[in-house]
Amino acid sequence: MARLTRLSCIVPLGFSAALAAMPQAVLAIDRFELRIDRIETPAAVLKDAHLKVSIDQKTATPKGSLRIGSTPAGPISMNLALREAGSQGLIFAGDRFRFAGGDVGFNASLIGRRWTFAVTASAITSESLLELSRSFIDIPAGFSAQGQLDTVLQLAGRTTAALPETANLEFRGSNLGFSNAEGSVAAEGIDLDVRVGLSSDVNGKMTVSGYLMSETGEALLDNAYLKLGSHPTRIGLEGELDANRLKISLLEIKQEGLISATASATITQPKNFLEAPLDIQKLKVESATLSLQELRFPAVYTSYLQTALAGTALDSLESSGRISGTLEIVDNAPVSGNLVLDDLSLRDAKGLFFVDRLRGRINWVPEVDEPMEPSSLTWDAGGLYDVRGGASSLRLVLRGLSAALLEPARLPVFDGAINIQELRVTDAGAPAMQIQFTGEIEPISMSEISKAFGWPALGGFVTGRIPRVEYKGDTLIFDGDLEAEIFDGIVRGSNIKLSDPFGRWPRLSADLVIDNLDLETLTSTLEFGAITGRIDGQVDNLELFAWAPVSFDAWLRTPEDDRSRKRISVDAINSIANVGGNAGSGVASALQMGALRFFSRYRYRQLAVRCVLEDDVCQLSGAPIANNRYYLLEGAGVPRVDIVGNSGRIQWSELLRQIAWQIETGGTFSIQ
Amino acid sequence: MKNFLKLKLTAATLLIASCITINVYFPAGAAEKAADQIIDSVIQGGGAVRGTPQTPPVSPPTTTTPPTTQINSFATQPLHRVAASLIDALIPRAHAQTEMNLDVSSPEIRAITASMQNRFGQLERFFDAGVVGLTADGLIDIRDISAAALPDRALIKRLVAEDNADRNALYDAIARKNERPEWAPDIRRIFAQRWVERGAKPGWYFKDLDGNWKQR
Repeated sequence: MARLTRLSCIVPLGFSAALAAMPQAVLAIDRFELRIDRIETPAAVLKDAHLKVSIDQKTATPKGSLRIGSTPAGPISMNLALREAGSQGLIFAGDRFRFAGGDVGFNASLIGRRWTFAVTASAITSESLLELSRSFIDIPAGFSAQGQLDTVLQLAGRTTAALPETANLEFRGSNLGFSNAEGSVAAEGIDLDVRVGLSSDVNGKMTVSGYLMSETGEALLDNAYLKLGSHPTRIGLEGELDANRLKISLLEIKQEGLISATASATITQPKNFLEAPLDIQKLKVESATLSLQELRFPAVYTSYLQTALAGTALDSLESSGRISGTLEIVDNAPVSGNLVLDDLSLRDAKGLFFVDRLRGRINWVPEVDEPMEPSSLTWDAGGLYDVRGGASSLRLVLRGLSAALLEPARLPVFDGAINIQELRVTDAGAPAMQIQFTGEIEPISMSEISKAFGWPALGGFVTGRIPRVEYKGDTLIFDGDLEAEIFDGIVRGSNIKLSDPFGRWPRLSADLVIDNLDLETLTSTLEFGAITGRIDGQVDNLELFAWAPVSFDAWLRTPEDDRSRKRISVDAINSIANVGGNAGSGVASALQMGALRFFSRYRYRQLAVRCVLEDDVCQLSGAPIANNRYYLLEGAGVPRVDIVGNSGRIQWSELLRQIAWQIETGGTFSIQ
Repeated sequence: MKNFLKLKLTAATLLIASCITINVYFPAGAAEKAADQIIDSVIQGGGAVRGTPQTPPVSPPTTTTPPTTQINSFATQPLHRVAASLIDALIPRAHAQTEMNLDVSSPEIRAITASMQNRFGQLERFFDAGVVGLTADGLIDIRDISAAALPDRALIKRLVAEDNADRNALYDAIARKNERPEWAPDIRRIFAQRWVERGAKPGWYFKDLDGNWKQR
């Protein structure tokens, strides 16, 4: 049993020692046989090796055969030829032999103290290569590979040194594939061109340089999916290896149309890199600088980010633009970073939000108590749900997982604005995330809002105060009342809660109080028909599910002390009578007959309508009279017009449709 | 004899007393029926969820009070009354479903069911291929991602995340509609069962209570 000298993890170096011992032996005898039961190298355990050398009597050239019964990639059986090269040299060549599924040939030389060793292999299988690599890299069980590779390994060194002076390794293959046991890391149809060169000096320090290129195939790395055909990839590396320390002077990653990045780093692991298999989990990044020259959208989003964001509010974005930035890492932890946004535009396909041409610089440090550069952002347009705004900018400070506005910001919204007095986010992205927001509304015209939300055009303005909003437990809670001045009155929302605000099924609950709105302003832009006077109301226990009302108890009525002129036009009476499906033709035409036709407006004492919505059914009522009857419109004076209804139930969706129709057309509504 | 009678009376009283005991129990039978309807509607993508009030066409009223328009001439009557029945379309009240104690009729439930219907077509082929399967708590999970082509794997992750968000919202909406938040685990359990028994095609995978994948 022989155990050869300790070897580097890259090179089966034992040959040099064996070669050093051999020449004399070969030349002095005419037959030589060596059997070794077991050879342990860091690369492999070889068993049952049998070397036979003999001298051809005619040519005086040594030749022989080498058989190794067991290697990780199967048995080896090859013929050898040795010849002298000058007086101090020996060249050692083997015929090509079958190994690892392909054809392998090798040659070696020893001239003076210099030796070389080269192996070329064509069409060896990935599976065998995987087996051989298990001694260098800790490959998890269940990992499989397919495809064939050509490979060349060249080593050269001196017999006085333990490590080779130079080593070059090349891989080339096409239609390669691999997969881990779970299927989360996989590739298909990959072509690969890898070159690595190593050289070492007398002190055992090694220089590494190499690259990897791939231009075909597809790869899946957990949540990142890459089509190499669309994004040819080149990764280059230059560095130094010194015992357990790897100093990368340049790592360059280029994926066409996707990423251009460089990095430098110093990485250590507990054991000497050359003495033990690489254990990725024990690597420590002592220091590193990552520099992104360019990340291109949408490719970066669709390839690397989208699947990781599945199920969140950011999982269906259309994007464009570029990002660049840097990141500094010390002792495995990031210590500072910045991102520069270059015309980044994002648009949520579900309509939740959008931002156009976001530009700026974001500076970040971990949670430390040090002065730092603020970040600033500018954009051309943005929106949340259907609320759209124009160009704006803001400045903020980011630390750890928190962000806060440095100063109040003004966001133009339609023809008005939202002034944000305070915006603070802590624990961003975590379940414990908190958001605090305070602001106010600069007057925004209702016609713009109506257009955006698809409502019929309403007149007037909205202005008001937004109370402190907190986000906790996946719910936005308004700490106070949201007040809007609209139609010369006030609409006040209290107890406002929005749960699952960024998710699939947001639920809004609130109580609204409607205070003294001016009906003339409200109806002036509608085809509904003019009504003058004031209106009060309330909506209790309003619930919106995915922004559609699912339940409420709503009242609208004339304020008791309303002293204004209360008039209702024929058109409006017509409209109210129409809603509910009664063709109402009788009403309008009757009002026009006879003496009544001189009256285009009628006085009224009160308007009253109540709708209790539950399970898509609206229970309608008004100002009660008796026997299940109620006034929707209680007239006054002479001539007097009342609209009286019977307590009843109507399909909510149907009611909405009729009101909308009536508001927009003001005509006579009839369905056959 | 007297004692025997006493015993019978006592027994009778006890029996009556136990009958009177008020117990709010989870209506499993009704829940199964409700789950079946929702599952059918998701799979067939068009089957109506029972309990939805039928939408009546807007038509002249069929009920008691026809619209009346009374006009007295200006000269004789100070009071003109125009009565118009605002509510013409009186819908038939939802039939009292005496045997069905689990109410699954609400706009939320309908909206979520519609969302699941829309997605089901895409998910179906992944169920067929054994890539995804049903779990024991009413959700779905990835069973074998390597049975799917590389480009599909990202899509599958998204579909699973979205469908589970819908499923969780559905069970919550049913519990909420019945005002019984404590029924949520039972609702899940029934749905999980019925998805396997009724919703799954032969060959589909599901997880048993121990977490092992089984095939229908």
